[in-house]
Amino acid sequence: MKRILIALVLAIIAITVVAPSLIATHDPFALDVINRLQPPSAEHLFGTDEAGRDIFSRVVHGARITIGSSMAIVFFAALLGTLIGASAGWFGGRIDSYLMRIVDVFLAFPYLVLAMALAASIGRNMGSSILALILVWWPGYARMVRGQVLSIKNELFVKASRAIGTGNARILRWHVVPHTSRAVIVRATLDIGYVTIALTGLSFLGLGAQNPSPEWGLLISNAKAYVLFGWWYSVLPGLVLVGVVSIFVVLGDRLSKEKGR
Amino acid sequence: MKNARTLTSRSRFLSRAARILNRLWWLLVVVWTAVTLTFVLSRLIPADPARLAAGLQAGPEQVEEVRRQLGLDRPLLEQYFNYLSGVARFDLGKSIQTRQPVVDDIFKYLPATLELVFAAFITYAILGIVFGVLWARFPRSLGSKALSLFTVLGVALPVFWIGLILQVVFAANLKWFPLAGNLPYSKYQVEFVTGMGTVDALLAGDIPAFGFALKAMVLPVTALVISQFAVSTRLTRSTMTSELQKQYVTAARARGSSETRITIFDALRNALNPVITMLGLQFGWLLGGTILVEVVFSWPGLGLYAFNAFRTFDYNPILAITIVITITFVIVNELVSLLYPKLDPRLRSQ
Repeated sequence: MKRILIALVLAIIAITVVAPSLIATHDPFALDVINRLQPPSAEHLFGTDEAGRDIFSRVVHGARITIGSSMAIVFFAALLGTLIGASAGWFGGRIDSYLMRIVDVFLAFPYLVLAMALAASIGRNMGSSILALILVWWPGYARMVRGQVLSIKNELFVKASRAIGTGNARILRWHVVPHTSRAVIVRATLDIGYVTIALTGLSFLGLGAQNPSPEWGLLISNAKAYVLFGWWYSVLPGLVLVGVVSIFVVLGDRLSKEKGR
Repeated sequence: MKNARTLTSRSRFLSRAARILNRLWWLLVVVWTAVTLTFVLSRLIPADPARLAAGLQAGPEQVEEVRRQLGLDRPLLEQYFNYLSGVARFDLGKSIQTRQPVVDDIFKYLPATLELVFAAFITYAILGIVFGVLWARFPRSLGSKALSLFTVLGVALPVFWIGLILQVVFAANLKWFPLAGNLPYSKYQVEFVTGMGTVDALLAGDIPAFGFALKAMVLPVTALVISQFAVSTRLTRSTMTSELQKQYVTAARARGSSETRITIFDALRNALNPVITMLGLQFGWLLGGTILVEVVFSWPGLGLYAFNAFRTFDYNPILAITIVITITFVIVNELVSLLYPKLDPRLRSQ
C-alpha cells in the first residue's frame, strides 16, 4: 500500500517536472496587479502573490527548476565522486593517498558555507549554485565508493577472477560496478532531498535563481516580505517543498533498509 | 624505575605535541584551500569589483583610480600573494559596503551569531539525547511513534521555511514574540558592549531589556533546533538501542540494577561517543544554518552581514566569513575528538 502511494507521488512529481503546463492552472508569469495577494480560492488554489501571479502555477512550474536542478546536481556529484573514489580504491598506493587527501580537505568544510562562498564568487545565478553544490557534494560519494571498492577488491571471487586472467576492465564491469551501484543509488535518492533543501537555501539568499523565476527557494524568499499580509504565500509553497523532500528521504530510507535482502 | 617513568612521560608529551602540530598543519591546509578556491572563483566572475566599489555615478577615471587603490590592476598572481599575506596578518581587507576593516566588522557581528548558535546547540544537544534515550528505552510507546514521524519530517524541513512559519504563527498572528531583530539597544538605552543582547542587558542591569532579548531569541533558536533535532535524536536512539542489547546490560539486570540506572549509568555512557561526533559536525552545519535564520529574522549577526555581502558582491567579507566559520568548525571537531578518551576509557591507552 505504502509502495503504491510512493509510486503515485513520484509519478505526479515526474509529470510536473516533465510537463508542468498540464497541471498548472494559469500562466506562471501573467501579472494581474488588481488581484494581488488574494487568499487561496477555487480560482487560485494557492492564492496570488504581490504581482497577482497565480502561486499554484508558479510552484508547479518551479518544480522543474528546483527538482530538475537537484537531480542534475546529485547525478554529477555521484558520477564525479564514484569515478574518483573508485580510482582511488582500485589503484591504491600514491593515487589513493593524494585523492583521499583532497576529499578530506573538502569534507573538513561546513558544506553549506563553502557552497555559499563558491556560489557568491562565481556569480549569482542558477548555474553557479548548481556548480557550487556539485563541488561540495562529490567528496561524500568518493569516500563511500572507495570504501566499497576496497572491500570488494579483497573478496575471494575477485581474486579468483583475477587468477584465471580476467582483465581490470572486465572485473570493474562485472564485479565492482554491480556491488557499488546499489549503495550509490540509495545515497543519491536521499541526497535529492538534501540537495533540494541546500539549493532552495542558496536561492533564498539570492545566490541562485533570480526573479522572475518561479524557483521554490526564491519564491519563499519573495514571500518573506509579505509574512504579515498573506500567510499562504510562504506556507503553501513551503509545504509542497517539504512534501517533495520527505518523499525522497522516505524512499531512500526504505531502499537502504531493503539492502540486506 | 624513576628513569623509565620520566621517559614515558616525555614520549607521551612528544607524541601529544606532534599530534597538535599535525592538526595545526591540517587547519592551515583547509584554510588555504578555502582562500585559494574562493580567490580563484572570484576572479573568474563577470562582475567588476572596482566598478561596484566606486559606485554607480563614478566616471571611468574614478573607477580606474579605485581599481589602483584596491590593487586590482596588478597581475593575478601578485594579487593572490598579496591576499594570502594579508590573511596571514589577520588583515582581511575592507568591506566595500560598511567601509570598515572586515576584521572589525566580524568582531562586531560574531557575538550575536554565537549567542544564537550556542543557545540552539545546547538546547538540541540536550533534547536530542533525552528524547533519543527515551525512544530507545520505550520503543513501543505512543511518544516513540510520534518521534519517528517527527524525525523523518524533521530532516525534510528547510530551516528558512521553519523560520517563516514561526514568524507567521507566533509573531504575526499570536504576537507572542517579536517579529525580527534582537535587542533594540537605543530603545532600552543599553550600551553595546559584547554584541550579545542578553549579556549586554545583564551588564546594564536592565531586567526588562534582558527579558526582551531572551524573547527575541526564542523564535530563531527554535527554528535552528527543529532543523537539527531529528539527526541527534535518531542517532542517540540507534546507538542506545544497540547498547541496550549488549551482554553487560543483561549482566547488570541479572545483578538486580534498576532499568533507569542501567540506561543512564551504563548504556548511555557507552552510546554517547558517536552522538558527540555527530553533534560536533552539526555545529558546523549550524553555522551555515544561522545565515539563513538570521536573514529570516533580520538578526544582526554574521549571517546577515554575509547576506548583505552576497548582494553587493563584497568579496572581502565573504572570504573572511568563510575562513572564520571554517576555522571554528575545524577547532570544534578537534575539541570533540579530545573529549572521546574522557568519555570512553577504552580509548585512553591509544
